[in-house]
Amino acid sequence: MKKVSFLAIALISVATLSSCNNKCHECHYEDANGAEVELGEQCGDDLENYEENGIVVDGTTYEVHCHEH
Amino acid sequence: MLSIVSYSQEFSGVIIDAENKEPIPFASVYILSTETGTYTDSLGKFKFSIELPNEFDLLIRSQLYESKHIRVQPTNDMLIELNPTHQDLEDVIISAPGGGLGRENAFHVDRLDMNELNSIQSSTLGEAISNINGVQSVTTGTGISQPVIRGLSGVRVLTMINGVRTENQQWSPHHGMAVNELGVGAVEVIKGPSSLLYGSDAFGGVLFLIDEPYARQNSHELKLQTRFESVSMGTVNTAIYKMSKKNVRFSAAGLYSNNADYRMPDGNYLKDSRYNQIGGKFSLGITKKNYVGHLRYTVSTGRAGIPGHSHDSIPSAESFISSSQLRSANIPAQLITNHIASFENKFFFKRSELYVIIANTNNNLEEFEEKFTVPGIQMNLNNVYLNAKFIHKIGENWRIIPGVQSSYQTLTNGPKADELLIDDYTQVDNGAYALFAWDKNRWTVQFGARADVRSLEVSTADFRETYAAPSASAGFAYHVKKHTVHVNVSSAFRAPHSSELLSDGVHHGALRYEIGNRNLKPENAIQTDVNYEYRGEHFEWSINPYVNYIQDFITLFAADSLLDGYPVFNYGQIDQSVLYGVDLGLHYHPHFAHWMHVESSFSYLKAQDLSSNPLPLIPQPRLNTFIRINPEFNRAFRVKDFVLQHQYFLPQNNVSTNETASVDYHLLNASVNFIWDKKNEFLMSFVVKNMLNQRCINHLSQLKNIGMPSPGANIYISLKYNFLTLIKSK
Repeated sequence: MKKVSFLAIALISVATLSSCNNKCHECHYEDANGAEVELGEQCGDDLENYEENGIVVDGTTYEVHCHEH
Repeated sequence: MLSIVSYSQEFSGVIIDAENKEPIPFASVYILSTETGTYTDSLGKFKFSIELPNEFDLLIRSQLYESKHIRVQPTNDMLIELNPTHQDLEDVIISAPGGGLGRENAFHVDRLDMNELNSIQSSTLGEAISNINGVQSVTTGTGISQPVIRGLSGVRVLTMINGVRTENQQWSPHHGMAVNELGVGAVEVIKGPSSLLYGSDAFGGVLFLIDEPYARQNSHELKLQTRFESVSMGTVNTAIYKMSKKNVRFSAAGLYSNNADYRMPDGNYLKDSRYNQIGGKFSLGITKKNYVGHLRYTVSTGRAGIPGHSHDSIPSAESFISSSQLRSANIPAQLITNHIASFENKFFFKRSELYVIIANTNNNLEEFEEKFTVPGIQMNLNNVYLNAKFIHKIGENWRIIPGVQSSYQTLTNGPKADELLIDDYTQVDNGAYALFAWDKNRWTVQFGARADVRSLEVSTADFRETYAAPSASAGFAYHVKKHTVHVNVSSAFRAPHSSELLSDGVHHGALRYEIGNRNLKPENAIQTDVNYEYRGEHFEWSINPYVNYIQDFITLFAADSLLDGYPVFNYGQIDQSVLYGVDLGLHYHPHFAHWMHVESSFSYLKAQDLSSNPLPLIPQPRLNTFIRINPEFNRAFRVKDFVLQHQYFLPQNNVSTNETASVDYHLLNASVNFIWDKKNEFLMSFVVKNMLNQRCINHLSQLKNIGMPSPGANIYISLKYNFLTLIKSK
């Protein structure tokens, strides 16, 4: 019976730990010509900064998008 | 020198068969007043070693015997006889005033234990509840659902958990339930207006969730469960520890679930239908001679994707589906955190009980639309709640139950949010009622009246309004041998919600621009409900027709215009509307095969204004049939049961101008459950849902307009392990 209980607990642990989220996302913006410019994977504070403030290129601020298409 | 003297009172007895006088082993003996339970031993004996009131309600239940509810005084060696029957166990209603068996309450209440609701496993609590006759769900994928009782949902349905009113910004069908399945033991549903006991918003019905009972007296229990479902590669893991020792009881529980986008019948995946949740629950109960207290706290936080949304300028079906199954956090999504803390107190006097519950619930909702770290909407809803009632016995047959309920609710928008859909508001509710109950022999009569006042203040919109209304209910139950009749007339009122009064913005979840109406009046409803039940030896059936008349029904009317690129909808009212229908139930367990049960239920509802224009979001009529086979094996490892379920959703052609008709569909589900029953219990379940991989779109699905179906064939595997250890007496 003890073996079965350990097996059950192990199953729960494996199932729980096998499904973690990542906190990084691929970001891009559209330049003045409407072309999509990739910014690569952004994480943590960088991601938040891009989403809150956008990106400034040659004095122009562009909105940055980081969601899946 | 100080010394603390504590004493225990003993209450013991034996349960026997009324016909052959043989002891009944493993019968449930439950003290309703103190919520303390135990089971009889192999000789039919039970014993409580706790402090108890001078008089209390005792419920005795056992398979194949008629349940008994008696009021007793604590004595030793009490002899209790139960009459044999082939009927299923009778329901014990917790939400009824004072509690008791279903037939003892004038208002018909549907009650189902979670084990019954999950005899074929459900993915979520919302889906499980939808198995109750007359109850369905408004869904947005599988991660977001709201209960619909007799065609009404959202702010018209009140959800109570352990007597506490929960609030989860349910004004939008895209805001899911505030509670998950963790530790929930049973669900009771009061269908139709129920303002008398629950106040404003108990307009379409009340969903009453009840936690699993504490561990049986003087024992530890540990329950571990892990569940996998193939359609979303999802897992749900729960652990529950319970302890009961003398006058102290404790339980702690945790849940973690994680689901990827679900697979549709065509093999593609519904984008952003992924969801995950983590939750915890703690309860501490104390029983003294004339007092029972429970301190409870529940927390849950979860992220649910919002399927059916696209950032494409011209969305097509491909915008909503994906050929690969993704799990990582994406947008649009909701991040929802709920806290529910309550302190429940019962004081026992000679002929009276005083019940006081104070609670605080907090719901924080963030909707991420275009950005992962900056929410589009961020709203925090805090609710302080008081519920007090005094149950006083007058003479042998009368009870008077006066009560008060109050709540202080505030909505606060977060500073980071891009948008403001509803302004900050403060809402204060005060209500007082008196219920009179008379019981004699076969009759129970209950009637009462209530007054409510709601004040709503939205300072940023310069809006201050007070809504006041009376409500009343009257009904009776008559029980003789195999027949039970419940008849009642009940009324309710609902003050307009802030979202209906003052909305002015895009609701991304609903893909529309909503404009509120400051001149809305409260809705009023009055329902007549008749329920007849026949409980024969091998055949049970019930019929429950009802008519609900609603004045000033608040709804959205489509305007022929666009704002910010979204279609505009204005809030308005329908002067008079009527909802009428019937719930039918049937249960057959033949004499020659007691191991087989055939249960079927049917619900039909029609809702329209007085010009015969249908109301929106009315569920499809549903025929729901279960065939259960409980093989009679005596081995430790055995098949516990086979269950086959067939659901037929009939077409819905009575639709409002904003909707399209829905076609009929069938669902076939099956489950086989194994049990290894030695010292502890080990259960394994294998379930297949939507066995035929049918493409189904329910009328209440928020994804219907974009043609996205429910999940395809889904295989569940569930493992449960229940440990029980008795605490040895010193």
